[in-house]
Amino acid sequence: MTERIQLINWVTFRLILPFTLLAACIFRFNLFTLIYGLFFLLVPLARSPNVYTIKRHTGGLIWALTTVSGIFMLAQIAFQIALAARKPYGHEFPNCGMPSRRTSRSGKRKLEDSLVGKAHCDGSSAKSSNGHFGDSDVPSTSAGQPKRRSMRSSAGKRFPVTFKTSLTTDSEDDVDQSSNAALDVQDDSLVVETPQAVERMRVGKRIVSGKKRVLGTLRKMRKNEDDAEELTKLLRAKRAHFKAKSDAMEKKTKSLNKLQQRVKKAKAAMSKVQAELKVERRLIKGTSMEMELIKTEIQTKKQAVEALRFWADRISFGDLPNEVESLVLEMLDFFHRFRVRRVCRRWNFLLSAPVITSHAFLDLTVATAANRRIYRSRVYYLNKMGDGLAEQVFPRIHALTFLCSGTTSSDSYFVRAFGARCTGVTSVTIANLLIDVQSLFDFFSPILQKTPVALRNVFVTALPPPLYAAWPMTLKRIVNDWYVRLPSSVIIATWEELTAIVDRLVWPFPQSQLEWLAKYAPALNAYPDVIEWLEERGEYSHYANLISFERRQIVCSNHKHFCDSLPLSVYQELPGSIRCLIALCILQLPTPDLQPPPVEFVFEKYLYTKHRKTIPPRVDDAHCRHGIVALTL
Amino acid sequence: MAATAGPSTGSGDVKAAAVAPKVRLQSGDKEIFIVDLPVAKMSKVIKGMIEDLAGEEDPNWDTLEPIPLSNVSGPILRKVITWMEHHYKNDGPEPERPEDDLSHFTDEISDWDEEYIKVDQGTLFELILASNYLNIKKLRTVGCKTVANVLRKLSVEEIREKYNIENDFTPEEEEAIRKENEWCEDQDASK
Repeated sequence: MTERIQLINWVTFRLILPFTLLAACIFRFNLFTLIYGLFFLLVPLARSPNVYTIKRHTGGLIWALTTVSGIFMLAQIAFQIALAARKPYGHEFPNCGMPSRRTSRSGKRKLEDSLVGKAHCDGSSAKSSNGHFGDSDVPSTSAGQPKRRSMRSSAGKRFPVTFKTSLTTDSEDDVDQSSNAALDVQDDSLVVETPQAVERMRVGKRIVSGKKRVLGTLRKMRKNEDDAEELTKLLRAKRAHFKAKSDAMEKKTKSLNKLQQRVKKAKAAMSKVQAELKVERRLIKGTSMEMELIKTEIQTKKQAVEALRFWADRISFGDLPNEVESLVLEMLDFFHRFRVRRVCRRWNFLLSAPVITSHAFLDLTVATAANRRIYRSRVYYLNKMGDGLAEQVFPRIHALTFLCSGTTSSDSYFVRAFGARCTGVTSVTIANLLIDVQSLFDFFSPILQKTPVALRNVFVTALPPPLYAAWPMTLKRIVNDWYVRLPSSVIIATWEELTAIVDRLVWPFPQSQLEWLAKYAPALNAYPDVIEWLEERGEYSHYANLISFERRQIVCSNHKHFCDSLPLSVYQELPGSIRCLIALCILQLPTPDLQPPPVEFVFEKYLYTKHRKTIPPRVDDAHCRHGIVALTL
Repeated sequence: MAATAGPSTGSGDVKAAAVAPKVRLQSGDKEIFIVDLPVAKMSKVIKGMIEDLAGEEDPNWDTLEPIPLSNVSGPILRKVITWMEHHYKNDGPEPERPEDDLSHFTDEISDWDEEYIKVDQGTLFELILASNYLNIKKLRTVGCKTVANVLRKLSVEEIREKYNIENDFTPEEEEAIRKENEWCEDQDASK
């Protein structure tokens, strides 16, 4: 098989190719001939083609040959087109003789010879369109038109133009051999001038019969030619159109390219931005994760704190020893003790114990300040609880501790209210009381009838505020700025003891001053009626209010000397307030040896900020502890 | 004399050491507090312990080993010492009072104490426990009063919730007690 192929190769390469090249060299006489000749000389040098050589020189040679012939063919086509486009040329052969026609046809004779150089034989000479001239009919027809027109004008008859095209193609080197076109013109009117033409005429006559047969075919062909012409026009138009379109396309493509470039740039920018975005997102993700971590940390810490607080709050009554728990409950006032019994069994038990119930506090502050109604309602309830509670509770009260609010009238109301019910009271403690002398007796009267009273933090003013202006300077100072603090160590057991204390407060004259008083006693004795005495002194109106002032009978034990020096009958008729006034008047006497009486009581400056706090201005549970009346049950 | 030493809670004051002998107190978590002797003696328990430990008339206070107060934690002891120093400085040593003295019921909470006792519930109870353990009656009273003042504001249910007290009454029992003490529950109703 390979041998056979090799044989074919050999035959082709060594026989057909050289001969073809030789033929090309012979039949052409232009520059191409030289090149073909060169190839012809080169071919024997190369080895016959096989698998190996085809890749080397031989292959290269064949390739070069093929390429060159291909290029030549394309060049010929281009040349043909260019030639056909030029007017002087055409494909009509002049009325020539056979030999010249043959030579022209075969390409042995130059075109210029037959057409230009031999102008004298144009009428009959055949112009050859030899091999390397166009094998297409387009140039021939286009070029042939003007000639035909001229012919027509001269002869009035159309010259049929015939083409005889034969195309043989060398399969090996792709060189087109030739295409012959024969054109015979039959015209009787033509005058043959040259001997050549004569000869040709002879030949033409011989073949004229055959030509006539061909004529019909030729006419058909002419028709086709016309059609082709039109088609060509159309084609051209279309080509132009196409060209325009392609130009437009090109433009568009260019713009598109530009756009694409822009898009590319934009895309690049986009990708950059996206990359940045990615990085940022990652960063954000990182930070958010950190945030979450921190959040969780905070939460855990919060939880820990919560737990701690929870456990801290759990430290409660259960952890306290019994006595401490009792102590806390003891600090509750009277009502709350009953209220919190409902909390649990343990508290109910603790609060039922006699130890606890012996120290119940009563919140009088709330009652006396603004919630009097509540307190009254409580008292009402206490009254109403005939079904055992009042009977259970009040008889068991053996000691009362009043932490007063200072509004003495309402305080005394509750003191009375409770004092009346607490039949078993053996001792009362008055604390945080700010009271005037007059109210003092109102306050103490219901208690002192039954039980001794211990004083704690009790301040007493000498006179109620509207009247103290009438008092002399020293006592006025007491009233105005100074409250006398009753001694806390004293327990007042009887009414007399109270009066003695208050008496000493109101009559603060020690022994040394008593003599001084006794000295002025005669002056007083001269006026059995103090009012008269005052009138005489022109100061009655000044003291009238004081005189009309109702006061309790006070036995003035400390001023016995003074009392003795006065007529007893007069003195005993006088109410305490008048006797007070007398002393005041004595003090006011403009005597040179008048001295302010020495004070044996400790006077404490009444500071609003300090002592006012003991009197809560309004109901507020937070202040309850300030003004408690402690009921010691 | 100790009043001039100033309320130094923890670290020792070198100058004052010459004036007033110092004792060292050790809390339950091994924290050491150096306190003036008279201040420390406000606690009767510490006073007794010092007397037991020192024994003789003039002991060497520097070499005396710290007084262990195992039931009191460091922060609480610091707070208690602050209280003692303040009150020693301002009121002097606590006077002896008869057993049946009821003044602690009627005494008010001073402004300083009121500010001092503004702590959370757990600390408050710890303070009460510590003062009970150290036998500082005044501080204990202040604490108890503070708790009582809180109780006063709360309803029964709130008390149970706040102090984690279980209601162990049967519904019938509770109803009976509620009815019995109805008269003291009208505080809000009658407003």
